[in-house]
This record gives sequence, structure tokens and C-alpha cells, in this order.
Amino acid sequence: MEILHIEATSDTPKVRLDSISGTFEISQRCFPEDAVGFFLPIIEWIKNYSKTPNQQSNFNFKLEYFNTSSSKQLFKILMLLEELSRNNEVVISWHYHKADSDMLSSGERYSKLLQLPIKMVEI
Amino acid sequence: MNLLENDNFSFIFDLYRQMNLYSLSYIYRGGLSIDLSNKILSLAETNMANHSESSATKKKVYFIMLESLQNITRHQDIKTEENIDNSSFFVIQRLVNDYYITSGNIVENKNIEALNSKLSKVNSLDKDSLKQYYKEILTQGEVSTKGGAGLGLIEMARKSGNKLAYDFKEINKDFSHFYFQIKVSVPDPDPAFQDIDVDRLTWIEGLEERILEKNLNLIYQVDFTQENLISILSMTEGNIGSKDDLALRKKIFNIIVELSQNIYKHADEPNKEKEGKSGIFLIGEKNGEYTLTTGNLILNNKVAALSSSLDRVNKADFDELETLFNKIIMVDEKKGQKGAGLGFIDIKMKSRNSLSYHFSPVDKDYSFFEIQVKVSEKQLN
Repeated sequence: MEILHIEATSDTPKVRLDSISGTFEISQRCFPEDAVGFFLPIIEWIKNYSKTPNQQSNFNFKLEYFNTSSSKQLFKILMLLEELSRNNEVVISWHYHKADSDMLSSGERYSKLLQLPIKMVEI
Repeated sequence: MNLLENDNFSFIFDLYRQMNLYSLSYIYRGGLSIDLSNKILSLAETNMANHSESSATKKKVYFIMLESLQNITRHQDIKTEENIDNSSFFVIQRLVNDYYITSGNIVENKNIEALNSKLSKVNSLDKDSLKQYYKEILTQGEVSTKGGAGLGLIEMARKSGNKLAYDFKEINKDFSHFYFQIKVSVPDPDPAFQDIDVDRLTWIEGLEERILEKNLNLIYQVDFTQENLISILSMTEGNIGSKDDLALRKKIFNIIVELSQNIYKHADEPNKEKEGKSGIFLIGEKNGEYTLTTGNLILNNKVAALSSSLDRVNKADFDELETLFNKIIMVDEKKGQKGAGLGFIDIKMKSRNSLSYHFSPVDKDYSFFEIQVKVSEKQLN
């Protein structure tokens, strides 16, 4: 599968989705003007990947900030991962700075909503 | 529901109107680091590029801003008594024919005479004598202990081609406010900007007095676009709390994003040619409590719906908000929907405070909508 690589900008995150090396990561800041448009290729990529996934996939969310319109898109991504985890091994790690209780709550919220185990990783 | 103190919003709406009328792009008050100066400069660069200003004008304005900001950072470390706010002050305005760059800082009264004589000397010279004087000082090397040789002033005067405006306002027997304003004339007048018929320096001095009373640090009034939001964020970031207040900084950052994105997604802009939406953003701080305010125009026929959605958020407790947030997050967005509808809920949950808001009628079509939220470290713990 083709690698999806998006460099970070001052308002959009760095995205690296690479099934060959097994890197699935989204990091830095995320408050695009058009969250739906920004996340569209990412959601498409994950849908395609889900057709022929690796035996194990480790997804890492290392976001510093995200806006409410992105929170909806992140939910969509996590929903796809929840689906994938039914027949495959999926490990989701949600990284948060130890002082950032909002980021921790967001991760916990997703985990609860999707009944999906998400590993909370303090940095 | 009217949660804001009346005095406060009449001030904000008034300020919005004045800034619109007098084309004040932004006002900054506070400590001014070199890093922050750079951000102010880059913000001005972006705005000038958006107004497609000629490169000669851009260079002049940039140079004068740089020199003014350096003057402040060089001289702001003087020790004053506790009860004197020694914040610096910086304003940039664009009018029909000119840019006005105004800076302000505290000076010691004992230095006023020397400063005054430097300034009046520069003002007394015409173009050629200024050039001559510049050479003289350069060769004589009459350098002050602070590293300024008066060369900066001469260069600013030469570049602007206009006289320097300045004023001292005594605070007490030891200190005064020093205001300094330079005009850069633009070759092609732009009627899109309005002109004012007041003594600009006096007007700005009065403005600073009012801003000081309200503990405001940054006031920014320009078209709200994603690009300008990024500039506001980087300027605010450099100015919030200490480095260890990470949680507070992130909350403030998040709230600014939500409030600003609300403006450019939902505000109603009478001027259809504008790329962004007009609005005002203010941030103030008192005893560790930050107050974030935005104001923008909306159509009168949207006022009722907006108030009821704000009331709904304000009435709900935090558990109810969590439930509401989760419900919205799970629903797929409608086609063409601009926001997620989560902004107000998120702001209240992050700030742990209710949202104050107010509508002021403007005309038969529009109202001015203000929203204000407070966030402090104390509330978070």
C-alpha cells in the first residue's frame, strides 16, 4: 500500500501512515479551517488499509492540541480502528503531556464511547 | 441573559467601532520580548501583503516598526515602583494615506530632557541636514550607554519623511509615559480605509488609559482568517503565564481557536468582498485570571437561535455537557455544515466557567455579538 505522508504545518498535524514499516502516527497541532477536507484522505487510507491489514497495527496519536471540528474526525478514525480490531490486533496509544488533563480526558472519552481499549501514554 | 457587566461591553463594542473607524489593526500591551517583537513584525508583514502594499511602503513600515520595537525592548527594563504598570504599548494603524506606528513605554523623568532634545533636534532638520547629521553622529560615535546612538531616530525620520510625534505624560516625580508616533505616507491612497480628524497621538494616549483600566494586553481587530488566527496564537502564546503553566496555556490556546473559528465560520460580514470576517479579539489578565473576549457582527434573525444555544450550554452542568458533547460527536455532519456545533460546549468544559455574552443592536440587519470567557489556574485545580 502507498505511504500516506503529510508534513505538519502551523495548524495541521504531521501524518505518517506506512503499512510496510508499520508506522501509523498523527502528531502535533490540529486545528484546520476545514477539518472534514483535511481528514478525508486519512480516513480513505485507513478504509483501504483495513481491507488488507498487517497482522498487528500500532496506531499512535501524539497530538498537542486539536479543535472541536477535528474531534469529530478523530472519532471517525477511531471508529474505523475499532472495526479493524474485531478481526485483527490493533494497539492504539494516546499520548498526552502529564500536565495536560484535557488531552487525557479526550483520550478517555474516545475509549469509553467506542468501548475500545486505548493505551494512555504520559509524556 | 446579560452576564457581562454593562460597562464592560459598552467598552468593547465602542472599541470595535473606533478601531473599525480608525483602522487600528492591533494594539499590544504587555512585556515585550524580542521573540514577541518578531511575531508582531511577522503579523504586520502578513497584513501588508494582504493589502498588497507596495514593496517600498512595506520596507519602510517594517523598518520603523523594528526600530520602535527595539527601542522598547532596550529601554523597558527600568525598575519602577510596584504600583506602576510598566508594560509597553504598541499600535499600528492604516488610514487612507498613511500608516501610523505608535509605541509607548515608561521613562525615567531624569532622562526626559536628553530624549526631548534628541527628538526636537531631529525634528528641526530638513531632509539634507538630517543626512548630514546622520553622517556626523556616525563618525563621532556618540553612543549612549544603552547602545542607541540616536541613529535609530534619525533613520526613522529619514525613512518616514515626516516629523516625529511624541509626548510625555507624567506618572509621578520619577517616571513618565513616553509616547512616540511615526507616520509613513503611502503613495497610493486607499479609500477603503477611513481617515480620522483627531489628534492621533492624544487619541491613542486616551485609548491606552482605558485599556490599562481594563487590564487588557492584546487587542486585535482585523479580518478573521485562519492565517490571522495563527498569528494571534503565536503572539498570545509568548505572552501567557510562565513556561510551566502548560495546562493553562493549552486551555487558552484551545479557547482562542474555538472563538476565532466561530467568527470566521459563523459571523455575518456586510462587506462581501472581504476575504475574512471583521471581528475583535481581546485578551486581558488580572491576578492570574485570563479573560478572552471576541466580538463580531451577526444577522438579527440569528440572534434568538444563538442566544438559546448559549443558554443551553450555560444551564447544563458538566455531566450534561459531556453527554451532549458525546451525542454530537457521534452524529455525522450534514453536508455543508461549517462547524461541529461543539465549540461552546468545549469552551465551557475547558474553562470550567459559564460563557458571558451580549448582543448590541447595530441597525435593521445586524447586531454586534460579544462573548467572553474567563480561565484561571485556580479554577483548574
